Amino acid sequence: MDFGDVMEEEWIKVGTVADIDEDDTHSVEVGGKPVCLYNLGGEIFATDGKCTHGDADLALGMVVDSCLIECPLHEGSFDIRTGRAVAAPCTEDLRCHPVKVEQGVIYLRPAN
Amino acid sequence: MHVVIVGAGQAGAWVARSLRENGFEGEVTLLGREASAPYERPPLSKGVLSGTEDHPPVLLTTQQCDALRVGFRPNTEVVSIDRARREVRCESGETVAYDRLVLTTGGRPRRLACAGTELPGVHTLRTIEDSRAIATLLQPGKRLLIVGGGWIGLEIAATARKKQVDVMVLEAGPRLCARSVPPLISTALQGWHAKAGVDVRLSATVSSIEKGTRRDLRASLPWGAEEFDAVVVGIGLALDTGLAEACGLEVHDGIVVDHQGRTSDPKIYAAGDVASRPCSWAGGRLRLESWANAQNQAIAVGKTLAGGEAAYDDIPWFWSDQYDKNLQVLGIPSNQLEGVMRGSVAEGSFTLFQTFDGKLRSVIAVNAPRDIKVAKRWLREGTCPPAAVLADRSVRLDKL
Repeated sequence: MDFGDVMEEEWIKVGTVADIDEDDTHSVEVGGKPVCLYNLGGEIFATDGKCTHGDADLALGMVVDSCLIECPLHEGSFDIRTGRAVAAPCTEDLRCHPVKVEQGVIYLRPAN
Repeated sequence: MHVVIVGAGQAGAWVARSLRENGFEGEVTLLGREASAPYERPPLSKGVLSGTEDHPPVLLTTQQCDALRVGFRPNTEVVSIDRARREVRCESGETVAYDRLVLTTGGRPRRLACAGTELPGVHTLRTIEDSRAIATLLQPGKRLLIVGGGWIGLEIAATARKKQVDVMVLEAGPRLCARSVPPLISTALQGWHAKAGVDVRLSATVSSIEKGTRRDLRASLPWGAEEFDAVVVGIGLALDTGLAEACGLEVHDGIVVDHQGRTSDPKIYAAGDVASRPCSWAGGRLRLESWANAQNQAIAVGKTLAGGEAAYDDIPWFWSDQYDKNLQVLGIPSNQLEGVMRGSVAEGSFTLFQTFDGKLRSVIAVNAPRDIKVAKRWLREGTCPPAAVLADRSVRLDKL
């Protein structure tokens, strides 16, 4: 997929809401780096795609308790809304990226 | 209150972390034999060995030790425990007094019982130093003999093949990883390694190792002598239960502990590879050499010592990464149980669900980590969808 489609300033089009089932994940690349998109009860969130603990693709993990992403490798977890590390072995928070949805299209502004 | 932890691996470090996370205010001392700060061992046979990871994840950095007020002492070998005086003696002669003692001593690689294992070029893998020493040998065209077709041996084989090393794996038993997975999985493992060019020899052992002429080492094998540049022995762990035995704690295939990690002396606890714990999923005692067990049992011990309530009875779970395959095992697989396959070995991604009396007993998933998460929930709830549903890949199991 190609998401080089810049809307305005640094908001980048990364997909559509229809790409992500409810309580599911969707993996995209932004600036060559993996980003994981989430659909939590219709609301879209985005975090770095790689776990802060090990080399694991969070998009393969599962959304649990409606707001946590559980790493597919070691079962550490993060709060999707804040990036906060909530379960071992994860101790370093996950970086979140601001997103906005316009007419079903998801735009992301990469966080530093 | 002073908690002294002997053994600074995965379990030891997590006991220390968990003590503080659960509000323990007393003194915490962590004594480690190795020179490094506590680190995670799984990458030693993968990323660290291949060079893609410089260092495995550190469990307690110097800054974290300061912040958590953990007195970490590397290069410290404990040689005895005096239960009456409540102190441990170090190799240096120094003694350290404890109110509560935690043994997270793990073990050391089991040695091969044949001539020549002391020769340079014959390795085992447990520490970061071991991993780095083996890594220097993994160069294209080198020839490596791996003794032991278990998880460590197979992960090293996969890493070595990535480095274009010529690899032979010798397994004494009739199939790979026979202790932990059913024959179907052993066959799949063998297929992946054969496809990657590994020469897997079953029911075969090495009878002696000596200096070679064309390559550094010559190994006597059932069909004759062959030469190799290096030998790695991965035939299991010899538990470090010596301290516990010498001071009279109950030891039976590991240090015997209860759900809180308490040994037969209520002031002494144990966790990790070295501890034998009650496990309802195994219908008896279980000693597990796995990353998750070392972490989570240690967390329970830390919580208990901090005055919290914990009863460790996690479902056994481990994984292995080889080539492009992530294999995860949940529960205790059996050679006898019925199995339902979701996907197939040929597809490269599958899950084998084993059931008994309509209840789920174990799950083995290859490149299907979500199936493990869902199955963990079913195991806890004592439920399981019908076989036809499990086998149907068009059904999303997490939506059931």
